[in-house]
Amino acid sequence: MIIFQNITKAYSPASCALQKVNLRIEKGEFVSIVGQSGAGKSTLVKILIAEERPTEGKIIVGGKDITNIRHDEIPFLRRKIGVVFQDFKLLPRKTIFENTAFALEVCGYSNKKIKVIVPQVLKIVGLGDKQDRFPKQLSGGEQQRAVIARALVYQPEILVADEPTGNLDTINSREIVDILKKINLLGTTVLLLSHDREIVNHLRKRVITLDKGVVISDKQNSLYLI
Amino acid sequence: MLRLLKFAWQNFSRNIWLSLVTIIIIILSLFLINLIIILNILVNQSLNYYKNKVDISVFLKPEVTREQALAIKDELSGNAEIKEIQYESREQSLEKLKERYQNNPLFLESLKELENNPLGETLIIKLRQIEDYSKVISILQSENYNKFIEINFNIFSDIKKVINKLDGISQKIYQTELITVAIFGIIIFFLIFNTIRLAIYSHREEIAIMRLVGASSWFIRGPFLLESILYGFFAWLANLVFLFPLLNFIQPYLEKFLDGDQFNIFSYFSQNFMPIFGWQLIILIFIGVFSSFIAVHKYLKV
Repeated sequence: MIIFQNITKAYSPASCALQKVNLRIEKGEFVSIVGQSGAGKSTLVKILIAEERPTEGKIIVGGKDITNIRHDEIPFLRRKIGVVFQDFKLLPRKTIFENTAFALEVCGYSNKKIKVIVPQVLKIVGLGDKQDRFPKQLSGGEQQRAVIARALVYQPEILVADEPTGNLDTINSREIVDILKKINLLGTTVLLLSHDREIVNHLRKRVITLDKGVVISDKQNSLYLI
Repeated sequence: MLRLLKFAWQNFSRNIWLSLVTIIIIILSLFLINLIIILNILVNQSLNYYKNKVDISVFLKPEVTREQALAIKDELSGNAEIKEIQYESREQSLEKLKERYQNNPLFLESLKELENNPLGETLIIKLRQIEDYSKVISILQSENYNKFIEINFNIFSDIKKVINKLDGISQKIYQTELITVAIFGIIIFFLIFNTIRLAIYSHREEIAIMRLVGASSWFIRGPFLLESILYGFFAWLANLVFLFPLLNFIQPYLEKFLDGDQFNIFSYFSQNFMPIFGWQLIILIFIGVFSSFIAVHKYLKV
């Protein structure tokens, strides 16, 4: 469960990225957060993964107040929240298997565990047969699936996808969204940040609309409004 | 830990040219430092060699008898500063004198003219350490002994000046050694700092991902610290590989220079391996870790 309580984030007195945002996202939900560029979507993610601290308000993740999280606790928070970005951020000199395994390696998982987990996760995202390829040998959609796989290796409670379809064509975008739905069905809370009207309308899930840092709409089974 | 080492090794080998240049500069710095250490050892060795040769010849007045001379010898031997005293009778001195001037017939002739041996008894004083030279001279100048001694004390002040000068040179070389070590220490510091800075820059994507997937800060920083230790260690090792053959090479020349003195620079360095090279490794690792620690804190936000 994620709770944003009166979250305000001001980078300077003149520019306010978020203003008194109140949200409650239940465990296992699939939520689309929509809005134009600069609406505050990315700031919301940054606060969620403790890359930024809110100027005001309180944020609770999985029952734990992370508003003033200690620096050395941040890695453990991030293992609970998988993040997928628009720019793929795969390491070009590592294969898909190595890229996915990298997330586990840097957190101290044993090689034995890595060999078990990585193929399973790659299979979920449909890359089971392409794990020895390098990123540049894959299509944009496949690369994005590899990034999702990397975000999933810890079996995170929450998966945040920040414009995951931004660089993809319609077919590939649909595929990505289908994978996100599949992951959600397995019990992971999914937060999809997007300004892709078609994708959001196709989902028919809860939609939160942000505009200039303010929540202007929050409805179940909704459409992209603005 | 093994994985940290693996990542450090990857950093090291992926930027192999940068790593090599870094190591080569550290090797050169170490080599220069060691050359100065060698120079310092040699100068000290030569100084000791010459210092050991310095003794004080005390010429007693001709009227001092053999018994008196031996009594003075025994008395002087009681001083802690004096290692040993050789007694040389006036006859022995005369023989020595004749020997020295054997190619000078005029001198030998004039010696023959003299009816009696004009020389007195001689005491040759060897010191425990050269620094006590003045002390012993002032003992000799004291009333107890002065009346028996026929000597121009000015000669001793000249020797003292030479000794002081040699000590001064030794001091200067030691200071040069310290300054060189300090300068090259700073060079190595900035060199490693810059290499790690570049390594952080070229790994910025990996670092961003590591942060994103929740790697602990020490897992992100650790490889860079270990990398700096690798630089120091490899440079240290390579330096040994170059230095010992060089020592072996200069040994015969050194023997000639020190006039057959039993000093082997190769075995000196082997015997003092830990004090010389052990410390070099420890200091190198310290500089490496310290500089990369600062680089990591400055350029690597985790």
